This record gives sequence, structure tokens and C-alpha cells, in this order.
Amino acid sequence: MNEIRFDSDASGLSLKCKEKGLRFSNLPFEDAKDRMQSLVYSQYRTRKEPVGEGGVSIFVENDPFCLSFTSMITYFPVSVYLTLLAVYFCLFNLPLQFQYPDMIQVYLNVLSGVVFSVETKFSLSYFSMLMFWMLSSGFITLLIVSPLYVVLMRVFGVMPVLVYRFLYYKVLGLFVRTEPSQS
Amino acid sequence: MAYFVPIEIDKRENGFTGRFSFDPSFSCTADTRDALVKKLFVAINSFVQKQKPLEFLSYLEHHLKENGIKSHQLRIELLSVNERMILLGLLALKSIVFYLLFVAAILFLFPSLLTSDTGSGMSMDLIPQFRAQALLVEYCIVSGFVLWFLLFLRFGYPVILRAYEGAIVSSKSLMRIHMLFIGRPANLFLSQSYVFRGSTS
Repeated sequence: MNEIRFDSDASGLSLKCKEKGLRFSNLPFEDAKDRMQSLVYSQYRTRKEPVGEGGVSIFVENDPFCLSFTSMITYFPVSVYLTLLAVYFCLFNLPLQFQYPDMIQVYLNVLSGVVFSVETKFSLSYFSMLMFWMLSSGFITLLIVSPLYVVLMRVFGVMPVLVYRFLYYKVLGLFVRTEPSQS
Repeated sequence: MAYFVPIEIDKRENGFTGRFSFDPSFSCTADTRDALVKKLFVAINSFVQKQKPLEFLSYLEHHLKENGIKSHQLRIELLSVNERMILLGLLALKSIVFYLLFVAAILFLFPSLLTSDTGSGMSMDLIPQFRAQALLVEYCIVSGFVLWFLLFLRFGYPVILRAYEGAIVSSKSLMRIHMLFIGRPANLFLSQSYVFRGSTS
């Protein structure tokens, strides 16, 4: 369980979070609830020390899928890079043998061998054969890739904590609308 | 959809005692504060996720609205991990099918993306070219899917999940269907240690 500490005002729905410098005052109920939802979305914001006098805490369960913003920030650039790399290869037709691991090459060879044998029987056109090869092998690959991706996020999603904290609290915190502090 | 459950924690000589603010009849003790919160969380979480008591959930909303956030809160989810996993799997399968259909449609509409000699018969001379192009197309498909799947997980999945949860909460028939096909099988082994016996009116 992760604990997020708030220091409550006298009025029920006013909240302020000193560490983030945020203060929500006199908010409508739904608005306050939405803001609480967004604030407690962080799974790495852990506070172990007891809450002081007058404060309230919200206890949040760890995200079981690691599908939080941490994983998105971490893996989104990777996938963008892969996509751009693929587009670059398609455009400039670079040599392939240096770009792919042996396992993928073996896998592709097996699949293409199956399709070639089909082709000799039915004499498919170049385009239709490519379509068939692409759809069949693509489907199989995606079935492998998508669970693997979830597993990777589950395993490595907890590593980039520092990057996440910096991006979430420093950069994205600039865009969070804050109420002026009431002294 | 998340709900906030108010709890009260008292420190005693031999540990901590906690209870739900709306149900004085239930209390539990633990040596540490973290263990106590975990016990309370497991109790209310299993009750809500296994039973999905709509009256109790609306009572929770009403309680929070009336009393405000004056005590500690537990944040619980309506759908359990297993239910969300099943929904995510269904969405992922659907995404794969739709993505492949989308790619097939694009390649059908723009066959020049693949080759310039569309319609010509396959020959052994074309095999190296075919394999090179097929490898590139394959790579594009996989990386493109990962990209769109990420975007979907970040922006689409929470919206769909929230809409789905809102739908099953607002419609009893949908809730029955959900419990029949997803809820009960997913939460079959979820042990329940707490039942709310108070009045929700």
C-alpha cells in the first residue's frame, strides 16, 4: 500500500498537499474527487512516517499492471524509436542482416518457407503472397509480442523511478492548475 | 472506477486498531500501521469486488459527499485485477484484429507500398527481394502495433474502462451479465472476510 498525505482544511472538501505545493479550496465535490484521483495515480509516492496531527492520508494499492504513467513515459520513446527506425529502413532500404537478431531471422525463415511451399501449389501472385505472409506471421508475432510487452512492463516498470518522479512532479506539475494559497 | 472508504486508525499500547467510519461493528488490530491498513483494505476490497453491491457503493459516495474528507481514506477499485486482466486481454485481441485489418486495408488501397510489380507471378529470382520487403513490412507492423498499443493503454484503455464501469454500475442488467461472464469466474478464488450489514439508507 502506498500512502499519500494531505493536510486537510477545516472545510471538508478542501485539500492541500504541502509537498507538491498544491492547495484545493472550496471545490465542488466531483472536481475535488477528480483531482484526488489524479493525485493518487502515482504508485511510487510512498510515505512511511505517521501522519501528523490534522492530516489525512489516502492509501492506494500498487498498480498491478504497472500501466501507470511511469511505464508510458519509459516505453513510449522506445516504441517511437522503433517505428521511426522501421520507416527509415523502408525508405532507404538499408542492409538487413546487421539489424536483426538470429532468433528473428530463423523465425522469419521458417514462416517464409511455409509460404513459399504454398506458393508453388497455388501460384499466388507476388502481392497476394506477401499479404498472406504478412498477415499470418504478423498475427503470430503480435500474439507473442503483446503478452511479452506486458511482462516487460511488469518486470522493468519499477526501475525508472527517478525519471518518472522528475517528469511527473516537475514537468507535468507545471500544467496542473493550482489554487492560490490562503494564508 | 475508484471509491474512497473512510477509515479510522487508533494507536493502542500493543498495536493499532482500525475500523471503517460507517461501520463501527467491524474492527481489526495489527502490530503495525501498514499491516492494519492492509487488513482493512483486503476486507473492503474483497467485499466490493466480489459482491459489487451497488447500494453500498452509492452509500459510500453519499457518505463521502456528506462528511467530506475528514479522516483517512482507502482507495478501492470496483473491478478486481483478474477482471481488468480479462478486459485488457479482450481489448488487446480486438486491437490486434482491427489493426491487422487496418494494415491490410492500407496495403490493399496502396499496393505500391509493397512492390512496383504488383500482380506479377512469383519466381525464384524475386525471393530475396520478397523476403527483404516482407521483413520490413513485418517489422513495421509489429513496431507500429506496439506504438498504437501504448497510446491505447495510456489514453484509450482508462476511458474505456471508466465507461464500462459506469455502464455496469448504472445498469443492473449489464451488471448481471458482467458478473455472470466475467465477475464470478474472475473472482472465484477471492476470499471474502467482510460483509457490510449496516443500513445503506
